Amino acid sequence: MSDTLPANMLDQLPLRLYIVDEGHQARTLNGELLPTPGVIHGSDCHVCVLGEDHCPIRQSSRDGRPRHLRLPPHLCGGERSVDLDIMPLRGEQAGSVLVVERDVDEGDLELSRTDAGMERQLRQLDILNQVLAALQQVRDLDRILRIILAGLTFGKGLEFNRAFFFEVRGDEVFGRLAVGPLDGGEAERIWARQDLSRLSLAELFAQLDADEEAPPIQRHVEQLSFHLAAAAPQLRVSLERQACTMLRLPPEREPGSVCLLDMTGSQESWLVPVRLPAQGSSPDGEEGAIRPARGELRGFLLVDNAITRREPTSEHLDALTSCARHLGFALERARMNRDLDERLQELQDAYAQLDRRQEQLLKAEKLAAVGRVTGNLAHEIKTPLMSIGGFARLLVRELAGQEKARDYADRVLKESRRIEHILEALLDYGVPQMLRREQVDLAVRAWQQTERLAEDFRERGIAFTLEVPQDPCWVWGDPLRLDQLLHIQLQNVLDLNEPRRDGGRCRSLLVRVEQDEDATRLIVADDGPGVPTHLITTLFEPFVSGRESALGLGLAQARDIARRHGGDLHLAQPGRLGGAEIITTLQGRNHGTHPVRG
Amino acid sequence: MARILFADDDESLRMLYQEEFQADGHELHFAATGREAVELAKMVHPDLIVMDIRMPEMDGLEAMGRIVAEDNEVPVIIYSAFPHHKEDFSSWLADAYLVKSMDLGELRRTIERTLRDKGC
Repeated sequence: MSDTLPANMLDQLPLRLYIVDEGHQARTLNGELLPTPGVIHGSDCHVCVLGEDHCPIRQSSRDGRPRHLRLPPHLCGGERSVDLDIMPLRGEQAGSVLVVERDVDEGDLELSRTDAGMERQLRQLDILNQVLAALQQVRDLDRILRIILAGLTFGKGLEFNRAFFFEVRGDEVFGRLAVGPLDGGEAERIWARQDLSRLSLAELFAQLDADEEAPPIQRHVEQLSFHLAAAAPQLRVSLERQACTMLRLPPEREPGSVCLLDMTGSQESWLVPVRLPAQGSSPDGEEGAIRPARGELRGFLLVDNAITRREPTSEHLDALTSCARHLGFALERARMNRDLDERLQELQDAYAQLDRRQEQLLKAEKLAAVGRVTGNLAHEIKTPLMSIGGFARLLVRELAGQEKARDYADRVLKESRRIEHILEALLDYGVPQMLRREQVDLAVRAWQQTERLAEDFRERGIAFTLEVPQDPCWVWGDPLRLDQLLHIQLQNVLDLNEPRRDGGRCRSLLVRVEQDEDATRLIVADDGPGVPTHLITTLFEPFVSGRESALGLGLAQARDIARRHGGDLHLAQPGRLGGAEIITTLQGRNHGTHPVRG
Repeated sequence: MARILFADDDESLRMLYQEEFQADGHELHFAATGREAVELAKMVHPDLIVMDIRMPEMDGLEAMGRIVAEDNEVPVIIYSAFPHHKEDFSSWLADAYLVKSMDLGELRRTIERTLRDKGC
C-alpha cells in the first residue's frame, strides 16, 4: 500500500483504507483526518472502545501482529457485513496500523458462515477431546471438576461465561466449584489476561491446578448451600430430568423458596444433572435400553453467559450435556480408583504387618532357641557350680583360724554366688513359665511393690509418689508375673541410683496406675537424666543395660511379661517428670473379666 | 534322727549333701539314678526323699511317682536346677519344690519343716 494510489481508483473498489496512529487518530492515505471510528465490535462479540486494551487495532499496534475482524450488518449500520483487515506498519510508521475495510459479498458471507460453523464445531470437538483426555489421567475430584468447568468456559470453544458444579448430598446442595468471572469487571480482567497469554486448554488446566489462591467466584460458590426441599420447583424438576434445562430468573420469587440464580447472579442459566452411571451404561449414551436406568444424583452443572448475555447454540448445550455425562463417569471412575487405592493401601498395610509379625516371630524363635540353649547351659553349669560354692562354704567353715586360706575360700564362694545369680537370671528369662491367670488388682499390686521397696527409696533420697484410682484396676493376669514386672522396673530405678555410684541421680519417682475401657497403664517416671540416646531403641532388648555390671535382662523380661499378657512396654522420654518414663500397657477394663490363654 | 534319701546323679553334690547334713544326725542314703532311688526307697523306707529331676535311666519325676505309688506317706522334696519343672503336674505330687542353690540353707529349713510335719 502506498499513497500513490489514485483517489478515483479507490472509489471504484469496495474498500476503505485508513491509518490509525498511536494517538488513535484515523487518517486516509492522503492524510485527511477521519472522525475516530469510536466503537468497534469484534467478531468474538467483545465490545471494545478504540484505544482500550481489547481493541484489536490497539493490540495490533502493540504486538505487531495482523488482526482480522468481521462486523455483522447490524453493527455496521447497513445491510452488508464489513471485514476489517488490520495490518501493523513498520519503519517510521511503527506503532500505527493500516485498516482495510471491505464490504463482504453476501454469497461469500454465507460460505464464510458455513465455514465458521464447521470451524466452531471442530473447536468444540477439540475441546471435548482435550477434556476427556485430561479426565483419563485424573482421580482427584476437584481436579476433575476444574477440568470440566474450564473446558466449558474455554475461549472460543464452548465459551460459556461461567460454569458451576453443585454437589447434592441427600437433601442438601453445596456449591463445590466455579470457574469464570464473578462480575463484568472481573470478566474484562480475566479475558484480557487470557487473550494476552493465549494459553492452550492443557496449559489452562495446569494453571488452574497451580493457582494457590481461590478466585472470587470460587470463594463465592463455596458459601452457597441450601436444602432441596426449599428450592424452587423449577430446579427440582430440572434435577429429575436427564437433559439440559434452561432456568430463568422469575419476575417474582416464591416466599421462603431458594432461588439458585439469585445466588449465582445471573438472569438465565442452563442446568444438567450429574449422575453416577447406571450399570451397563456408557458415557456415549449407548445403553441399549428404551428407558435407561438412572444412576445416583451427585450434583449438577450450571452454566451461564451472565456477562455477554449471548444465547448458547444447541451445539453448545449438547456439549454441556455430554460434559455432564462424562463427569458422571469420571466421578464413578474416581470413586472406584479411590476404593482401589484404599484396598491397595489395606493390602500394603496387611503385608507390612505380616512382615513385622514374621520378623517378630523370627526374633521370638531365635530368642526361644537362645533361651533353650541358655537354659541347658545354665543347668549344666549350675550343678558343678553348686559343688564349687558348696565346698567353698564348707572350706570357709573348716578353715576357721587360718585367715588367709579362709579369705581365699570366701572369695571363691562369693564369685560362685555371683555366677549363680547370673545363671538364675538367664534361666528365668530363657525358659518362660506358664501364666497362672486370675483377676488381679494392679493398683493394689503397685502399692504392695512400692511399699516393699519404700525403705530402699528413702535410703537413696528418692521421694516416690503412688497414684492409683479409687476403684480397683482389674486385669486378667498372673499375679506373680505382674509383681515381677513391677519389681523389675522399680528395682531398675534403685540400681541406677545406688548411693555408692554418685550419690543418687534422681530425686523423684512417680508410680501411676490408670485404667479405661481399652487399656490399663502402669507408668513409672523419674526425674533423672533419662536413658542414654544410644540405648533408646534397644532398651527392651535382652543384654542391653546402662550399667556395666548388669546383665541387661530385667527390662527385656518385663516386656516379655507384658507381651504375654497381651500388652507392651514403651519408653517416653522426656517423661512427665523430665526423665525416663516407662509405660506398661495392658488390656483394659473391657478385657478384664475374660480369660485369655497365655 | 530320720532316714533321708538323696537322689542326684552328680557325685560331688552327693558328697556335698553328705558333708552338709551328716552332722545333723540323720541317716543318709544316696542314689545316683531314678531307678536306684526307687530300689533304695523299697529297701530303707526313708522318712524323706530329696529328689533331683534330671537323672539318667529314670528321671526324678517318674521315680517319685513310683515311690509314692508304693508308699503314699513318704514326703518328697524336688530339688532341681530348673525352676520350670514346677509347671509339670507330675511335680505337684511333691511336698516341696526348691530350685538348687549353693546356699543349702533353704533346703535345710525345708527338710526340717517337712520332718517336723511328719512327726519325725
